[in-house]
Amino acid sequence: MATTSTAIKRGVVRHARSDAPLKAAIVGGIHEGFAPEKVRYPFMVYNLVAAPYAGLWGSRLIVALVDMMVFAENGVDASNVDQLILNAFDEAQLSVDGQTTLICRRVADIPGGPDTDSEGKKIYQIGGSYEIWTDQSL
Amino acid sequence: MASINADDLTLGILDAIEEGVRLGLEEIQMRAQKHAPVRDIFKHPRGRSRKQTSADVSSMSSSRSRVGSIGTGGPRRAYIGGAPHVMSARKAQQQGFFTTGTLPSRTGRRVEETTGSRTLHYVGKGVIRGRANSLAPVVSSPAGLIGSESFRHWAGPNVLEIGAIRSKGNKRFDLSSLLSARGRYEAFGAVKKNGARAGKGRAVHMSHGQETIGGRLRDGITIVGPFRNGPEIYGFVKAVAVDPDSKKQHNYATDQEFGTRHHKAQPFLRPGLLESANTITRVTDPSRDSRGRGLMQKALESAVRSGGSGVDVPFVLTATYVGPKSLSKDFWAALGKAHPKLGF
Repeated sequence: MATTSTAIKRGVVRHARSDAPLKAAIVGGIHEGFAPEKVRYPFMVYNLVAAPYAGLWGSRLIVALVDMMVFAENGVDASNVDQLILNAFDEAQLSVDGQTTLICRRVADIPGGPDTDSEGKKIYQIGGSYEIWTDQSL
Repeated sequence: MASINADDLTLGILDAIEEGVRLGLEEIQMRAQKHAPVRDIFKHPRGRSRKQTSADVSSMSSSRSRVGSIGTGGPRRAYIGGAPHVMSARKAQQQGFFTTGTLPSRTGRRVEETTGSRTLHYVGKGVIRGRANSLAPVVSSPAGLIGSESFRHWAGPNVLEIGAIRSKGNKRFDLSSLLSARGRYEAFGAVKKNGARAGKGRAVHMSHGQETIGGRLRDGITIVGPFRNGPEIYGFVKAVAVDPDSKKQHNYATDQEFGTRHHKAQPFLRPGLLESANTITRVTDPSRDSRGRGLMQKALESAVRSGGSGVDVPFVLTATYVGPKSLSKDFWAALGKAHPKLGF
């Protein structure tokens, strides 16, 4: 059965949860795209940027670009968690339903300066873009 | 073997690559503009998501094509004071518009307003059932009664054709009632103490010589380059959008691309780049039938014409997109390996 980029997102979350140091560090949990206002810091946000398909002979290649960011109350925490995310995902073998992971690697850092939240606190946003290539037979 | 002017060949190939880079940048820009979010300023019928559907996009695209609008097929655009293609209602009728301009089935009390020799019919506030807080105007025109849905059908879901239907007295029909409360703020500014609007909202900006509501980010996606640095040819697609109310002149294109604590990311540049990868390969590959076909051959033929005559060309050059960072090294190495006599 063919699966889509949704399976890749599911694989990302599964992989993040399976990494004990990372899971312990992100107190506020893992969120897709946006976290509610009252979530505790630090937390992790992932977002699927694009996932174009490439049809091959008998198989389909999905090249997904996923942003993974951490929001924290200070820059050190943010950098530390970002490093944990890098450790977990760079050159990792993700378990994606119906697909075989070919590549999972960090391809860029995401620029982000400190922002202020609704209470006026500075919030640090640090992260990176990860390219995930998967293959599935059709 | 052909006698080739090596200098001409080098320059010709560089020209060809530059053209390919330019085409590639245009492709990325076009796709990024399609992905760029545009403010939604209109009311939507009850039960309908505010999010633009694919049906909206396609219907808008065809409608805009029909009226010859700028940016055909692009995201939604709203004009203040009349779109570039404003036409009289009679002309619009002659051209086959308003064919579905019928009075909505659920209508209520009419309000009539006479201007010159023409009477405009509005449906009074709050009397159309099935539509939340709607003023949903209906206008009598030479083409018949036209409701707001007909406007949308004709001009697309987010196009204000304010000048499209006007009375003889040149009194314009106020379509601000089609806007959501947020849309009115974005278009006409905040409400002042005396109840009047400030005039222009922050979403108003000049685009293609027209005052436009929304689309500042999309219009801020531009191409820089291509540039030459020795054998290296490169360019950028950049996005700049500054909120006029912002004292810090903050570029919110970054916020849209990567998201913030308060705002979910709506990436547009990187999807444009990723989706363009195959096309970029195609336009820069002269062996395929595309806009870039023959660029390399032309360079070669030109070099042959400069250096010799009446001979056959024994090889065909092909160009392949190998990534922005490795282009110069890999490309020139491959070229030199394939054709050592050229001396690259």
